[in-house]
Amino acid sequence: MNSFSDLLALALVNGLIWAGIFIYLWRLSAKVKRLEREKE
Amino acid sequence: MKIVIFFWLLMVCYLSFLYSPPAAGFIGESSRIVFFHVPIAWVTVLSFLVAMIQAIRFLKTKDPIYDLKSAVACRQGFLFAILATVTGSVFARVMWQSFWNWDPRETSITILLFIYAAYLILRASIEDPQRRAVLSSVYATFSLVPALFLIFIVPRIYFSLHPDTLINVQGKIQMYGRILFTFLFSLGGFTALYFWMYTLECRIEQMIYRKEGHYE
Repeated sequence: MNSFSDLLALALVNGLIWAGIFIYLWRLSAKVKRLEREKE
Repeated sequence: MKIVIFFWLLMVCYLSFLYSPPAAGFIGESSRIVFFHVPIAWVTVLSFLVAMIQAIRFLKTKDPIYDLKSAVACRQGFLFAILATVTGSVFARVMWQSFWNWDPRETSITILLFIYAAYLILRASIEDPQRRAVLSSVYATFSLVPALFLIFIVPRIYFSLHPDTLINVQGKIQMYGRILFTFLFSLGGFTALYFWMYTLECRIEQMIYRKEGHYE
């Protein structure tokens, strides 16, 4: 890696992507849990 | 399947950061952002295409499952569009010293976000499930036409700061060796991730539909 700012930008891009996808999947898993609870 | 995708995306991170050299014509290491930003943008387009296909299937068969699948694709497309905009903005800051430049591609994705936000608002505002399904499907079908125009045509008509990432206007591939391999590997990984997320949410929505007999 050449500079700190480039590294920061790359970390930010990756962090945002994975955070976005993780939050979406988390929302889905909450839906599944709700379904399972209602089934019981 | 999810284990394969997890390791595939882990490999994408390794290839992007350590295997691929920085591309010429980019500032410092900023070209590595392309390995994440472009596949996310590609998945956005793919998602809206899936939304349109499912909407057409609904309009032909009137089977509510297709409308449900179309809605799932639109929701996920909207998520990826937001991610593509934000990551593109970080790339713009490194390359052009500003988070936002009103470049044709930046303007296009903003309009695209509004188009699909309007779809989600439309769905949320109609209570009658049948009416909602028909109107949403018609909207999803026709909104792909301006979307494709905004994504593929507008940036090629006007001057754009954006580099030609894979295939330029002459139809030539401008990536070589390790960079091309990493890019295609990442494109495949994010496409697989998208289809996994799509089938997962479709299954959940179908379960809710079968249980409650109507949409959420």
